[in-house]
Amino acid sequence: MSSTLIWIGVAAAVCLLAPVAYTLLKRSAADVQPRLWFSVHVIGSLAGVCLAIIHSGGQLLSPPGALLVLLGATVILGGWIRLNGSTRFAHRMGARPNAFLGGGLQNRQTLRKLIDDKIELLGRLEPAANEALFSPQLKHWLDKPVLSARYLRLMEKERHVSGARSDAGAVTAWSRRIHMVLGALFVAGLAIHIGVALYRILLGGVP
Amino acid sequence: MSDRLALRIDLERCIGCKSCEAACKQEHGLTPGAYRTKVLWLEDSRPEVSPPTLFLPVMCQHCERPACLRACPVNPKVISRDEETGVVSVDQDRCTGCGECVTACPYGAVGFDAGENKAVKCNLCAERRADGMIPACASVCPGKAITFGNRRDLAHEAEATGREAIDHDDYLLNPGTIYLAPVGGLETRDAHGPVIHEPATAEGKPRRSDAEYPYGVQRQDRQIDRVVPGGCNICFNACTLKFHFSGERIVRITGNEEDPVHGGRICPKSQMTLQAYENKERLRTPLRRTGKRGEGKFEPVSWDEALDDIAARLAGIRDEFGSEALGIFSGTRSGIMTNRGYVRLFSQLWGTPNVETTETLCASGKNVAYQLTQGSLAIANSYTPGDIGSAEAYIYIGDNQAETRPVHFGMVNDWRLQNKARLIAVDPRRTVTATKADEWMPIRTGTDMALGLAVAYHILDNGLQDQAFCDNWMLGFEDWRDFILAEKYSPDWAAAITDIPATKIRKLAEIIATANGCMIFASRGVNQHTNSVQTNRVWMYVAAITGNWGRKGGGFFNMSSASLIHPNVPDNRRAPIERPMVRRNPTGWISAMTQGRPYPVKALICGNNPMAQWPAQDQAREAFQSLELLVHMDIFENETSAFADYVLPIANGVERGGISRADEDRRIVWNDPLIKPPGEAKSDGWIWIELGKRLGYGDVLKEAYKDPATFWDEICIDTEELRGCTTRRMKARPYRWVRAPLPSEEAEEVETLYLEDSEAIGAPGKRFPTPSGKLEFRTPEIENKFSKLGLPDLPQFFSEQEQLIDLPVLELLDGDDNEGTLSPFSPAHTFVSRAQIKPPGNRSRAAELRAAGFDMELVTGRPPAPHFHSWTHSFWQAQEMWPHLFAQIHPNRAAALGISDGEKIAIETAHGRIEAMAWITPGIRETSIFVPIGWGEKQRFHPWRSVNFLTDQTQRDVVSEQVNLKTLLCKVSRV
Repeated sequence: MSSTLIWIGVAAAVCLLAPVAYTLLKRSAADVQPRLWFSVHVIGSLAGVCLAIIHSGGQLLSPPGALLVLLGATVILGGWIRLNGSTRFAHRMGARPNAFLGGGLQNRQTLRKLIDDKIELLGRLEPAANEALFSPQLKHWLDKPVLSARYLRLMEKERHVSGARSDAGAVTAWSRRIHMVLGALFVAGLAIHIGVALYRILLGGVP
Repeated sequence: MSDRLALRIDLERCIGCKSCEAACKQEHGLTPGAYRTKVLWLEDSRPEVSPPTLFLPVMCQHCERPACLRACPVNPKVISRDEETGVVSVDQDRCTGCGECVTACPYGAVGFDAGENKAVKCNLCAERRADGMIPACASVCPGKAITFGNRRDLAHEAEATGREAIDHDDYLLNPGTIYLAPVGGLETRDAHGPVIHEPATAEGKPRRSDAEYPYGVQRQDRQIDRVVPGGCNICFNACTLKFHFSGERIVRITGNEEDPVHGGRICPKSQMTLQAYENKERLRTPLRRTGKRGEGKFEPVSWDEALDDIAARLAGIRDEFGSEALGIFSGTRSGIMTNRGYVRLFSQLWGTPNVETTETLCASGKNVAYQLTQGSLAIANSYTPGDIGSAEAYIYIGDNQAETRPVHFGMVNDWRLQNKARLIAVDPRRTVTATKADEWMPIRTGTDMALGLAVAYHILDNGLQDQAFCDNWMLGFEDWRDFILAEKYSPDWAAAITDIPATKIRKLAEIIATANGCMIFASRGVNQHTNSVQTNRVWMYVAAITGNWGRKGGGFFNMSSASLIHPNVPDNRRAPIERPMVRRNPTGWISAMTQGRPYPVKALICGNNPMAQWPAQDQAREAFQSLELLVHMDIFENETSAFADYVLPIANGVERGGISRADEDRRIVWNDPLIKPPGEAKSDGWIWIELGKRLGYGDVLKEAYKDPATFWDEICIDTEELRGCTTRRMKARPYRWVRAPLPSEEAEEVETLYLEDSEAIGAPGKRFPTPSGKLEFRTPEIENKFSKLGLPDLPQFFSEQEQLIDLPVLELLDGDDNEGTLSPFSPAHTFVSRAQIKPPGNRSRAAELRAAGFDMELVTGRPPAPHFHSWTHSFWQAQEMWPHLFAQIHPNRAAALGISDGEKIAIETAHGRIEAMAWITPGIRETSIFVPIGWGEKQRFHPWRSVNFLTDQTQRDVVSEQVNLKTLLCKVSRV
């Protein structure tokens, strides 16, 4: 691989840091403009894909090539969510009329128990917080990952009982999360790819 | 939390008109697909549960434990909850559009702007509250269904009035919004809307780019700097408005809260006229046809070119065929001042009797009946608490007021609940009006006359009439009584005809007779029939014998009070008219256009959209093809434009100024011209004056009359009834209306006309402005008029030609190509067919059709509140609310035909075929199918062929020339 292609790969990696930065910054309580960073993540991803394709030299049938396919899937899914998923979100307005009619008493006891469990757990996770308004943020995941995970599990249970998410349909409910998982897998793969490449360079070879 | 703010939504008062939706989108500049508030129409899968239909406004519930807030992944959260007020808001500048809040909300009450990629949700109009106003949705609600305030106070108020709040906290979120259950209880659990109501997926749906200014514009770029009062120019409700300006552009249209009658309540149509003013589809320049007629190919021309050529061609047609060869058809969009003012003067100067509005399509039957019976078209009652608001019973016969005049129905519904008054709806459909009724009577279409006769029979047979009123204020009471009793028009007789059990008919009669004030409302369901005049007269008789005429809280109310404008040119400027009007109904001109019989009509100047509006579209289009000159004046290009030689762009609403539509209860609302029309569009008055100038009428159609105020004050109100309705008097009021009749500027307005001991305006010494001063049901003059047409004046029952059972029908003896006789009922010389009532027989038209498989009753009518004929179909939001032409069909019939909800179906009559989307609902007679008017195949969004391809212009009431649009046999199939 030529040094030009290597440097293009470096540039691609830098661009692809934008979505990572966006993901972290919007959760970090940093004084940033999330919508601006959303745009940065889109532009960075698109630029990163283009550069990564050039960097690959067309060698898709290789482990790094598979990474490129993963990146492509992530970007395509992200684009689909922006173009079509947002319309699906818009259609959710007014999609649960029966929620206004009462009669769902059977779940109230289950929900009461879940809320009580959350309050109890919150006493250890973030004692000053109000359960009504709380969800774990990045700092909680860094400080108390186990408690955060347990709390998130209770939140997911509550959502499951309420049925709102499942009612939205798998595509609407899960497409963004799949996008994030694919992105995370790609970032992990990229890190390995960079590590392997650096190792080879350090050994004096050509990556 | 004592300061928690909330909305209280009364499901008994909500009529599903979607005015709140329109107000919300205006206030927040929302574009297609984005909602903060959305109104759902719901039905339970079990038709027996209460209520059968529910209208549910959905907006953020401002929960104490907001699921949306907790789901938001951004830190700090984009969604916040105000500790003091409890209002949950989204910071749209920071929202990244992940949609987690949308999928987390168990109420489905978080909106999303797909174009901007961000969540949008109700914040109880924070900006309005900061300015001391209430949320937009609550400010406009016609039914007073939405109330804003302190949550605790709202809850206490409801409790004090015995109303039950729905416990909808199934998710333990402690929602702030209070929903009051319908009075009859709420059993609905498995609610769903019709498929046609779900987000439109078909091609042609409104997109973000279709939303013109000021929608989609940031709030800071549409700051309001002045507000001007005025009125809506669409429907008979004549709502008072406030036009909010940012610079020279209108940025918002709200109700006028200073109006003592409406108090700021408006329907969605008024608000959506905002989408007319800057609409990119507006006609902007005169167009001249370049392609074949009907092809729709045009080139822009100057006004001078267009008007010079039109005038020259008109003169040529007059030279060859006579002045009567010009027909003029104008309507709603032209405006009352145009129809009754400019056009009337022009036609007198030109010399043609063939001038008509939409009256014979809608209301001529009731007008003839009013004129015969009370000597005036002015309806007695007013929408005030002391008059209509004081009734003990409201009976709606073929009048879906909730969807056709939502604000007035909202007021009636409010009074009904306050006063615990009865409400009964007689209609083949369970209309929105019927959903609020104590009883829905699903009558066989076209048999309202039989029901009225049976009600009268029961009252008379049991001596329930107000004998003093009958003796003192009715002429012909005895003759009618004796006839009805002799013919045995009893409830048992009517039950088989109307499909309403005799016991229910008796009960209805007793309610009308015993209520201390009964308002009998009727409308197009009664009017649009071949028995239009007689059915109106029968129900007038019912009102009169029960003393419900000329009293507060009682009356026969068939909307609307017709226009009292009738200016004339000086006698020496009237052009001679050699031949009578071809037919009063313009669709009766078809033979004159195609065959030149009884004499040729070669030119037509028209407004509105006859190529969707006139019955028998195939014949109407053939007729338009055969014209030598067709001039179409409108605000949007539509189906009619394609047939025109010239399409002239007209100004609309406050672009041209003038008065509103003829209001139901005699209010006249004034608009100043406030903005410039788009492009080169001109007011109708300007066009008629300029055309008149080219034909030598400039001395009468003066240049000064291009100013609507001058024309109104100098020409239109020179009558006993209107002389006091000056623009000065109207403009002196913050709500810009006066109530006619008003003989002088100093005269007091009359809330209720024809009260006992009062004197009718223009009829000194008389309570009613008839020759006798009494309500006239039978006089030698009336008898003579009917007999000239070969008909009895007494109310002999007959129905429509196309029925599922054999009934007496009206048989016309002369075709439209035949002169017939001169109408004794038309104010102008008019040819009309003679007729006879034909008894039922096996070889009837109906029997033939039934044998050919036409086994359902087609009923046409107005669509829900956001639409009004074809022009609202150019408003993106009206199309978003009600996108598709639908056909309501009963579940049993749909199952038998294998039709599923939302499926495209074909409806075929003996006169044509169309397609529509099925709306399966138990709210319609099993044998009926309902298809609304207004859609057209060239409309901007969701085009469909007009329902008038299915109707028949030959089925007319010879007395009023009203055409039957309500009862046609049809067959339905899957496409």
